[in-house]
Amino acid sequence: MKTHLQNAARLVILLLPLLGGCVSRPPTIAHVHIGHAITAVHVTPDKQGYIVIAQLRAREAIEFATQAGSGTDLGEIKRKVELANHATNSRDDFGVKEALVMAVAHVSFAATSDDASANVQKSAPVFARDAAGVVQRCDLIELLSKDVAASTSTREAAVSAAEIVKLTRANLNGDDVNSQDKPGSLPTEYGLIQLRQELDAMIAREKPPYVTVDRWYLFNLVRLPSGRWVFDKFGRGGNIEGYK
Amino acid sequence: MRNRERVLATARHCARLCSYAGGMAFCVVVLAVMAHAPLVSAQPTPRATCQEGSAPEAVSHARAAFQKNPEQLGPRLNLADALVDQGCYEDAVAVLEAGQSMYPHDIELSGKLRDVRSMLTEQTYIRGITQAEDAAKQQHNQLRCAQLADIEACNDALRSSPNDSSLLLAKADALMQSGHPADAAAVYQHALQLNPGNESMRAKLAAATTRANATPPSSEARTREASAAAPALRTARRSHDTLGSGGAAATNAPAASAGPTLSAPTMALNGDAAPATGLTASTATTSYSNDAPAGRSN
Repeated sequence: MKTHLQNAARLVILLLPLLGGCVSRPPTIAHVHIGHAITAVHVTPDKQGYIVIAQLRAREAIEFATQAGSGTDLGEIKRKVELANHATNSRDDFGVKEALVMAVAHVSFAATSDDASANVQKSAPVFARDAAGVVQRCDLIELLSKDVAASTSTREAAVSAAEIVKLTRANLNGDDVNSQDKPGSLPTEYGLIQLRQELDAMIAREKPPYVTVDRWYLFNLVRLPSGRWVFDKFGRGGNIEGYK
Repeated sequence: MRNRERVLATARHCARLCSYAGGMAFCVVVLAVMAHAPLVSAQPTPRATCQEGSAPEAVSHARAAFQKNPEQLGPRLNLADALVDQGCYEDAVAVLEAGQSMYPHDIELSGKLRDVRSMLTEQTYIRGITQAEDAAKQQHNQLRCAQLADIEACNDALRSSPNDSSLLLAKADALMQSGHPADAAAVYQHALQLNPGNESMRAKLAAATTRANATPPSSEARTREASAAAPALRTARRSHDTLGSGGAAATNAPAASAGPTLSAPTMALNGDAAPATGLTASTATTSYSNDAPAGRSN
């Protein structure tokens, strides 16, 4: 009996290092916030990350704007431009601007977390600054869309629609202001593709390395009244009332 | 107004994200900064502008108390608070960071430092958003000026960039096109002063001057009539020249019946292509609407 117990104890001791490797450590709070920007968050359609949603909406906007740009009927141009503007500036449906602004906000949240690395702290304001170009194009698309909506002639609408086509493409692929380099070669020319690359580069510099955050953590991060971030062990999906 | 809407929208998202926490402290900090953000660039309020040498009384007192006891934590925190109240987040961060070496384990100091850093990040971020909005409006005016010969848009754009020669040229072209050669000549003259060697501008100025001299004086009354109609039309254009009210809402806007005169960009750039309506402006500073002058149809 004693021998059996001794053997079992030896087995446990031998297996301990291996068992330790099986136990997953929770991600850092900063990495969870970054995960909301690039992987998943519970408030978006299909719970996709903010920057992912922004890219999807940017592609929709290009499609509608291109249809408007090649339109010959005033009513049709107006309808397509309205759809392009919706994909770009809708708040409720997470248009390009809204989704990008939220991505910037969450990277900023990451930077101000207690466990944020120096890399994240330094990268967050740069990301916020570089995102401003896309935001500016979104604002311009909104103004031009209103011009189109108020247009009384196809020719006037077509002028604004042609600009909207350029802007929607620049929002995804980047702009080429000087027509000399490739699009998005400067931060001021960045589109969503370059912004995503910037985030990926930030993640690649992380030590310890960034690992894709499990959705459970992404959807159950809560902040206590004390200001401390914790994971809701009851997994209530991020919509808890009265949580103390 | 736009920024207020953004605050509300962010509040909504923030609430979605943080409601499950019960504690909204983080959101409150973010929203408090955002709520004050419009002031950063819109109005020169004390909180918005943190200028050296013009510190309010509270900051001066706090700084004096701190300088008497630079080693004590209390006066340092009070100074940081006073600076935060004035929106001087960068200065507050510097004061707190300097104290961290003396009090590396003080929870209040490190917590305050984290909060103020967060405020600073948000302030920078909001400033960027606001600047993007202003830049988009300017770009919109430039586009309308150059491509649609919208004189009101030219005037708006020139308010921000009065010596932008390409804008001046576009405005002068638009004036020529709308039958105001005397005004166009004045604007060409201004553009030429900025680019004395530009022969194309010189040629346009000569053409505008010739046409202005050939204009029958009797047309001035018609020009004044057209100018008198300008305010209403300007209002119509401005009704949709704001961000944030949604593109769809403008579809049936009354401005649709008062849209700007259209012209191909090539026409706008060619002074000789302006229609010979025989209209002339009474003064070089007359403000014009973006509609067609009397005698022309939209």
